[in-house]
Amino acid sequence: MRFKIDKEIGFHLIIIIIISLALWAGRAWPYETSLFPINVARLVLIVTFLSLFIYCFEKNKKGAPVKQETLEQGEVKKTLLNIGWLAGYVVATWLLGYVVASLLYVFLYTKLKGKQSWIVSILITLGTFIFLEVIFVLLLDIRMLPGVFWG
Amino acid sequence: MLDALLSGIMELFTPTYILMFSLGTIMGIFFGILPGLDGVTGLALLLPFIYMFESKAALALILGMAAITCTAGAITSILLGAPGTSGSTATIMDGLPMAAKGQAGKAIGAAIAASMIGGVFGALVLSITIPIFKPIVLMFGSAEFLAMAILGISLVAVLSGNSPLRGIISGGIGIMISQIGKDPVMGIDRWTLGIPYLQEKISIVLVALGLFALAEILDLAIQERPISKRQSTVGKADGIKETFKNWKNTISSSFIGAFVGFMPGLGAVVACWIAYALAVITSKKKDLFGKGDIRGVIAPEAANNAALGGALIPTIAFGIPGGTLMALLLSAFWTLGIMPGPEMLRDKLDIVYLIIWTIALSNIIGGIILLIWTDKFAKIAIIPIEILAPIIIVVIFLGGVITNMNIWDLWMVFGFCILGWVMKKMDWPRPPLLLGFVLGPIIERFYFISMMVFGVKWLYRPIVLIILSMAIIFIIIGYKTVRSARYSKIKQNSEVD
Repeated sequence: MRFKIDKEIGFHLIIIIIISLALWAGRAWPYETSLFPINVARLVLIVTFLSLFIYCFEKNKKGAPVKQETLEQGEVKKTLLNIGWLAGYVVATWLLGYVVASLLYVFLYTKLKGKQSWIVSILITLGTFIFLEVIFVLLLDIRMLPGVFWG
Repeated sequence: MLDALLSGIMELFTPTYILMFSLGTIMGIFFGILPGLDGVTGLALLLPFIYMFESKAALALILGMAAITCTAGAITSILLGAPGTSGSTATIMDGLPMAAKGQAGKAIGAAIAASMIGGVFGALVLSITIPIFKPIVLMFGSAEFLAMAILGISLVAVLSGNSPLRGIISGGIGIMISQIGKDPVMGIDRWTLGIPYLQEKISIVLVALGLFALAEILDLAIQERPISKRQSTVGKADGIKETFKNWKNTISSSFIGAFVGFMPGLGAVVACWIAYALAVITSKKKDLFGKGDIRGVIAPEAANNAALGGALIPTIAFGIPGGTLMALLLSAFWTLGIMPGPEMLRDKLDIVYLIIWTIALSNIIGGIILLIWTDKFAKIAIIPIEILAPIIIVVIFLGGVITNMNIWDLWMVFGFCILGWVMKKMDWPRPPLLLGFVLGPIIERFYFISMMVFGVKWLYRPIVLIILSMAIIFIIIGYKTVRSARYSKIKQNSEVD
């Protein structure tokens, strides 16, 4: 019998690997340090194995996996693109600081991804700048996160 | 005592007091609405300035602000899945689905009305219990607090929908994440991977923002649809009506909020989850929860506002703060020359009642201000996602970065967003993870203290036995809920076939 690893099994396996690594990392901790987290980790590992076993058993019994949402090619592209926008924002914040990165992000997102007009994009960016600068920097006197190259 | 009570009311309506108190309430709304900012941030920002004011005016400012932040925090929980304060995390469960169904106005109306009632209830509990509180406080020690935390974690059974094993895994992962950082007993690094940032505990704000708010926005952005496809068809009036219609739920949740609030270390964030779970347990139609049931909004909102009144009990009666907000309040009291403790109850009862009335009135005034704006807030739900997403993402990241101003905070929010989105897509329950994260350190701390003080005998204490019995009942009810949900699903499938 050929056994196919689907998303559900994959997710279980990822959890099992991470918890196993966590247990391995905690092997040298003193008793007081390890007592609570290691016991919880052991319990979670056992329950994850149990959940995986039940899932595989049910899947085998039914002959087909339990209905799952599958991502089509276009959706995968959209998902990666949106995650990329978020990751790009964090990287931009690291490089340019929070305020500059936020303004760049809002402008580029509305213009390139949102396909808004220049006026709308500029107005939203300006609104964001006023919100951040007036409320947080001027009124609350909060110094925003600086970047490696700016701020 | 009556003199003190009346004197408190008289002071409440002096022009200076009204002015300062209104200013505080507006500030509280502002801090509550913005994710990442809460009463603690507001109070921390105000502390350096309060000595400039006369003590009662300063009291009006700080209490007016602290009392209303949880109410305002519900608005972003409902509209964006981004809890304005940690006490509004459970409101996401049904608030967000209601907004998606075009019922944002109704949900916000119910949240505000429930918050008003909860806040006033908390203040009343405070006023009634203050004189008789000492014996009640003495009944609760570390063992009882531990039992309460275990009761809280047993809610995983109720919050797991139809997948109890996944709920336990999710809750366990939440506890494990909460353990990352320095061990509180020995000071040894746990699972920090040698990264200095991880030595400090991960903030609940980062977990909640990533797991729910950013994950939801990411999902909407991928699907290219607004929060709600429909204009809000039902308004705040329906929400207010529903709150009064479900008066038993509102009052019992307020009671839970006040009760849990007074327990050190638990506070509004635990109170809202316990109230939510109890609303599920006592409901006849349990399967409606998590899909946009108004009772799932009323319960946590009534509880989190009542928790403030409860938390003030040990702070005022003994000068013992139960959490960060109370510790800051206590230091504000000291700065103003007010010394909480038994002497205050004996000699300064008028100030005690002034505090109580301020909280009650702040909830009412703040609630009214928010209600006026409810329908306008609800319109956010239909803004096209390509315009809303960048603005909300900037606000979410601002909430993440504002406390520590550390780039790692943003990576944390991003990481929890991916985890939350994957869990959503895979149909794994996310609330148990958040609950486990909140309760993990509390259980560990009280477990150590209880074991050191009582050994295993902590289990035999009468109140502990009562609370643990309740936990067992929660687990049984959770199991029955799963069974009945599965049965009705099988029945539905067989009818379709």
